[in-house]
This record gives sequence, structure tokens and C-alpha cells, in this order.
Amino acid sequence: MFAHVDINNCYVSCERLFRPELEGKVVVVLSNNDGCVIARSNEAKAIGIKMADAEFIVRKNLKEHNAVIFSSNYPLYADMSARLMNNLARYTYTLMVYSIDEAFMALGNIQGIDLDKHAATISANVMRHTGLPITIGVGPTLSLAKLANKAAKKQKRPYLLLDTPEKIDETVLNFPIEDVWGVGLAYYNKLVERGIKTAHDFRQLKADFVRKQMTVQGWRLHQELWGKPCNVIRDVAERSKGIESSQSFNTYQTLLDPIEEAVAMHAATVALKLRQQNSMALMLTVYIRTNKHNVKHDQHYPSITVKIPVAANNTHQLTCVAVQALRAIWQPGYNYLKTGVRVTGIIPAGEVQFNLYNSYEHSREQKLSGLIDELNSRYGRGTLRMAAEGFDKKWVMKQEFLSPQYTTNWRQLITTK
Amino acid sequence: MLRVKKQRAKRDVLGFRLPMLTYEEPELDVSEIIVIDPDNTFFMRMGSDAMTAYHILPEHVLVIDRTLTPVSGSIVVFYHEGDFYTREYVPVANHLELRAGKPADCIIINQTQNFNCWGVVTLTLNPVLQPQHKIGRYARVCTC
Repeated sequence: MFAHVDINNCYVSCERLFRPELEGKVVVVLSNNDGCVIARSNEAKAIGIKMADAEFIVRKNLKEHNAVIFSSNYPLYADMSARLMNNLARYTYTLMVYSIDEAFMALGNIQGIDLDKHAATISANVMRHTGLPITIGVGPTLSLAKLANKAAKKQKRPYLLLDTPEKIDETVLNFPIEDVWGVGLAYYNKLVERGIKTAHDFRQLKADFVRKQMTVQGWRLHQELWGKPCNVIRDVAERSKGIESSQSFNTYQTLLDPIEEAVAMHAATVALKLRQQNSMALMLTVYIRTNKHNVKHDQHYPSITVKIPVAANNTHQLTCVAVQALRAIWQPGYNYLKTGVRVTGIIPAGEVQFNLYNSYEHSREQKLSGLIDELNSRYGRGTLRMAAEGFDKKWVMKQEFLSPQYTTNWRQLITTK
Repeated sequence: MLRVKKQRAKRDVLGFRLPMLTYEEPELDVSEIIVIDPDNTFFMRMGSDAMTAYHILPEHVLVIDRTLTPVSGSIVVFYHEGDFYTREYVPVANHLELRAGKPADCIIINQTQNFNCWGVVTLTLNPVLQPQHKIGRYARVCTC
């Protein structure tokens, strides 16, 4: 048996833990640069705020309902997420962290366990200890566990157990097909064409037919909905195939210098992520974009992918390559709004192919990057950085409604009376 | 809770091995006895002199554990009418007293089901350095 656990309205719940008066109020969290809505309280959903609504479009509606708005405070969300995951790990031998607010737990083969009691215990303890509201769905496969979770939310229950075929039959009967995990827009359109509206309808299809029409992914889903496991829990994170760092500017940028600073910052972030997973990259892409929504401006979306001379993960080299690449694509006369750096061709750090001419030349830079990481992890991110990242950073994103970093900064603790 | 112990920084010794290297133990880490359950421990700061009688002075850092259930006499942090408070938790007959040093600072909660304990304070950090010592990095001993 598997459990799927997620935090209800994750980012909003993290903010509410330290602002309990926001319970029952309309609360939204905005994306980077305060662009659009990325998290909504149930009350915000009720007044018709949709996911990814642009802030300036829903501004009036939010104001009318006295909504509380937050800029995204990722240090806080990441810390609360880690706390939740560590708590969940106490109740299972295998935990797969699926995203910042979701995880799968293996619950089978635990000796003498009453699943219903176990789920109730996890639910009560984790909610009390972390202060975050969670929902738990339990089922014989990952897809059914995820389905159980959604069904539990609809029934406003903290957890739902699908441990018998009867319970599964009952739950899938009216479960909308578009809410099934893995059914995207393409599959949804295909299925609705054939009059399939619920998970129950989908289950009634013949397995051979599903395989022909929906590739092996659809077939796996079909099997899983019948309780035959096809997906397995992977508790070791896979090496990511690409790493990207990007962000919009707060205003249009027409000069090269500030864009260079931003690109240097993204390159440093990407390099850090590479080092954290102990891998190196062979290719680096830099892109810049104008605002496609502003029809008055000339549009320009150049992008360039360059080969890094020798696979690297040190800040020095990647910054150098990224800035050079940017200079090759930047053109005067455009109002740029966004830039990003992406690396691909990621290989384990131990498998780097050197060539005749560079043998060991970069080992000093490698050591320097390690030292920078150590100092930054002790004294805070950005303590030591490349001068290319700039000092005044006039281009950094807007965060007008940022909450304090209650759990990660000694200077921003809550003061009690 | 499981916590990875830091190993003492090792120094390479040239020539011969020091005999004591065989007996090395990880160094003492004070966070081991201050934070029992790191995943569920939060920090706040005392902002008033209401709890001076309990040796909790303004500016003390409070170590708060959410896994503990308050019992009579616990020092708890709770949210009440727009503010976080630190008080002694004393259930009496059919109401709840949240006591402070002075009666004026006490809070009485009649409907106990409305009371939501945020966490139990396990200890407070009280810096006792003299002012002339509070310079450089020593200015930040348990303060900010």
C-alpha cells in the first residue's frame, strides 16, 4: 500500500502558521516578481481567483475582499517543506519526495500495522508538529493513492483509505477524469471525445484498446487504477537532465550591463546546483526576452547554446561562458524583461573527459568554488559572489509583500508579548 | 532525533601518527541538548517584561518545541487576539489561566476549546555578557 501526502494550499499554509489571524481570510501568494497568483486559500478560490491569474487583473477583486497578498517567500516554504518531509520519513521506510509539497510513502509490509490507525496517527501528529494542514490518500498503487488524496480533499477529510476493491469502485465512480494523475489536456480531449468523463468510465475500457490509443503511459495508468502497480517509489533523486535559473527584471532593461549582472547571477546559481548534486555540465544556454504582452515594443527573443570547453561546475567558468554567450546575442534598441541560464548535457562529476591542453588547470577554481559554497552556507547566500553579479542590483525582482524569514534568519524571528 | 555529528577538523601530521588519534570522539555540540527535535523546533524572541518573574527577560531567544503537549506549569507560546504571547499554562477547573509575573499580564481563557497552543517553550537563551564585551562577533551572542 502507498500513501500520497500533500500540504493543503502549501504556500498559504506556511504563511498562516506565523499569522494565525489569516485563518478564514482570502490569502494569495504571488510568483517571483509579484507577477501572478501561484497559491490561493480556499476563500480565495471561492471568490473566483484562478491559478496563474495575473496580479494586475485580479487586483480589484482582491481589494474588494480585503485579501492578504504575499510575495513568494521561498526560503520559508523550503524550510517548512523540509520539516514536513523529515516528519513523514518517521512513519515509513521509503519516502519519495515528489515536489515541494507532495510525497509518496510506502506503507506495505510494516508488521502488524492497522493502516487506518496509521494514517490517522500520521495526519494528527504531522499536522500538530509542523503546523501545516495535510491530506493523506492511501491506495494499492501510486495513482490510486493520489486519487484517494484528491477524493479526500473533496470530502473535506484529513485522510482517505482505499484498501478494498469496494471502496475503490465507489470512489472512482464519479471521479472526474481530468482530475486523474497523468491525464493532461491532450488525453482529456481524446477521452471526452469518446464520452469518457469519469475514472470509472476509463477503467471500463479494454487494456489493449488503451495501449493502442494512449501509449504505454496511458496503459500503466489503466493498470494502476485497477490496483496493479506499475509505478515504483524511487527514494534516490535522479540527476536532473537540465538545470535552469531565470527571472524577470523589475523594469525593462535596455543596457547590456545590468543584463550581464543578472546572467552572472543565474550562472552562479546554476553552478551551485550542479555542485550540490555533484555533476558537471557540457552545454550552456543563455536567453533574453522582451515582453510579449507589450505589443507597442519591438520583440526579440534570442537564445544561444554554447559548448563549455571542458565539462564544468565551477562558478568561474560558467559565469565566463554565460557572459560571453550573452554578449553574442544581445542587441541594442530592445526593452528586455527577462533572462535565464540553462545547462544541459549533465554528467556525473567523476566522468569528465579532459583533453590534452587543459589537464588540471581548473582545479584551483574548483577549490575556490568549494570554499565559496562553504562560506555562503555558513554566513548566508550571496556573502561571497562574483563581482560580475554587480553590487546595487537595481534589476532584482519586485517583492513588495514579502513576509519575514521566520525560520531561517535570526534577525527576523517573531517577538512574543 | 537523528542528527549527523560533526567530526573534529582533522590535521594531517607528518612523519608519525599521534597515538591519541585512535581515541578521537566527535566534539560536544551544544545544539544537541538545546534542540531535541530539530524538525519541529522553532525560535521566537521575548518582547516584554511580563515573564521576568519566570527568568524570561526581554530579548531572550525562546526555543519552542511543537511536539510537546502542554501540562500545568508549562511555559507556552500561543496566539491571542492578534499577538503571540509567552505565558505559564495553568488549567483551572473549567477555564484556562495563562499566568505572568504580574496579575495584570495574566490572560484568562474561558472557552478552553478555543485555545490553540502554538508550542511549548523548552528553554530560553539568556546572554549574560557585560556591555564592554558585546563588540565584534561577540555582540551577537544569543542576540541579533
